[in-house]
Amino acid sequence: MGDILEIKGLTKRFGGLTAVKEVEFCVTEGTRLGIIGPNGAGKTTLFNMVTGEFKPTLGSIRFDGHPIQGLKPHRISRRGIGRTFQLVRVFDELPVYDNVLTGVLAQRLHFSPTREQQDKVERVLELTHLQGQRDSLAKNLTVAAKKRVGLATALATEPKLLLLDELMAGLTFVEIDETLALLRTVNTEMGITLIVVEHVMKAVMELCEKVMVISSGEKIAEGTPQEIANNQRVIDVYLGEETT
Amino acid sequence: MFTPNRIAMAVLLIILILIPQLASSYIVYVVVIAMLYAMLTASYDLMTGYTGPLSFCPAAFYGLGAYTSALLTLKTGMSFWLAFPISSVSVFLFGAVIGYPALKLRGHYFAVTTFFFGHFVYLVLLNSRKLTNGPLGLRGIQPPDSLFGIDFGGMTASYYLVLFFGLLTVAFCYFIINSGVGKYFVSIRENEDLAEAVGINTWFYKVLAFSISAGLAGMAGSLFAHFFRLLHPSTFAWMTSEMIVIMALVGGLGTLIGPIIGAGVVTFFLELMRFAPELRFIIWSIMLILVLLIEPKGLAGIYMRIRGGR
Repeated sequence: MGDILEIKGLTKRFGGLTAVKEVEFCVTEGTRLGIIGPNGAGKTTLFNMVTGEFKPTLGSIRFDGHPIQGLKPHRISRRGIGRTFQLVRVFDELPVYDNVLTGVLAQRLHFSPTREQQDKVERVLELTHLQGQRDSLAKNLTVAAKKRVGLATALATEPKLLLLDELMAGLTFVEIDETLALLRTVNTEMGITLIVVEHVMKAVMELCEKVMVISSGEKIAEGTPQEIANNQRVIDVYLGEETT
Repeated sequence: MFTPNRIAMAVLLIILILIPQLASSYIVYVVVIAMLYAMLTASYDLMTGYTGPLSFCPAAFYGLGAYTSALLTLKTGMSFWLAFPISSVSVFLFGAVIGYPALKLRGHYFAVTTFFFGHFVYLVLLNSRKLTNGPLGLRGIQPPDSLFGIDFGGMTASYYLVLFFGLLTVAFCYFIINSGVGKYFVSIRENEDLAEAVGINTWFYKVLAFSISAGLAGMAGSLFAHFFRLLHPSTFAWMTSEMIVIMALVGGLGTLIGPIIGAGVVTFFLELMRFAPELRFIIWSIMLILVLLIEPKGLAGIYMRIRGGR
């Protein structure tokens, strides 16, 4: 399979601060990539450039063979990139069902949802185990459930590539395991390519086939989880260098 | 079928239909004002209540509709039945022209922009003496021409005309809100970044909501011009925008029926308080604060709480 996402020389400067510096990587269709790095390394900035929230200062982003850098977020979403947010975002005053429905309708506007669109909502609710809370207002849910609603809404847009920004943060071990199982289903059965930014190492190590490490805006390592765990530079970045 | 809501609405409709037969012309006059305000608050609600961005210039679009319609009939001798749709559509387009740049701004910045735009329109109406006759007011506006043998020179026929278009406005808002586009509007209110991230062109739909809201306000303005037949810029100044915002708040923004009820309640309250002109706005302000302290969703919120809807 080919590369679904190709990033070359991607740089973002905020005034004098370079948040992301000449990052390059490719993601093969159908795979799971983890992005890790210390706080402030530029992981979320990288995400925000791929999804169109920020315009890159330099560099190119190609999705499915087409350049997408500088497009508005809704255009990128319609091309097939879904996302969740680091600080969980849901449509607060809407029931869970309407949250997901909005995701479905956003991709194709109909006066009222078609039969297929309703079925789609049902399938996503079932997949994310939200049928029981379909009528609850999103704002009344626990953080874990809100994160699932965010994921469900993103899935409802039928993405080819899904960017998950710290989906596991703040979840219990049981919830992490459940989410991991869910993400595997999303990846293998629905064929959605995953890129996850995560601080929960267990999740990254178990889920991802490939891991990329960013520190101070630069890519410092890339490899299998095993390689990354044994990479001296990565250990230095996380734990500080050994003084001899 | 016969839910309390539907029964209440049916009763309200019957009362509105019977008013010209039963009530004095003074009451008819007040009800027309209330209905025009209801059209304004319903259209305002579409923008600020459902889509989210806080707008402070509904009266500007009301005024633009009124003056456009009046001037078209006065200066070109155009029939009301042509000037009415032309003025509504012009104000819709005008809303798009203003919304296009202004809605690139978010939050307070947009609100302040609309505030100044509202004042700008008032100043233009006041100072373009050759066109609008400025502070002397625009006189000699004709009632709508007879149509299907109905003469709109009298109060009763004009009353039904306003009622008809008032109902049409509300039905139109109901239609929009319950459509897919309405879902887009609400998603923008609930979380603009998320709406954008799932593929909704939030800026376009905000401009659309703003323009529709403007067009409906312009329609109310045209009806106002040909019902009262005298226009003065002060009718469309900040005070009126404020009134519309308050009525919508008191009724309950983000519900369709709330702002309509709010328009009726506030209009009648202010009329009832005419015996004490000095106290009118003081008492009114205190009541407003109380309503908002008790229930931020206004009268509609209080009603839903009583019915246990939430």
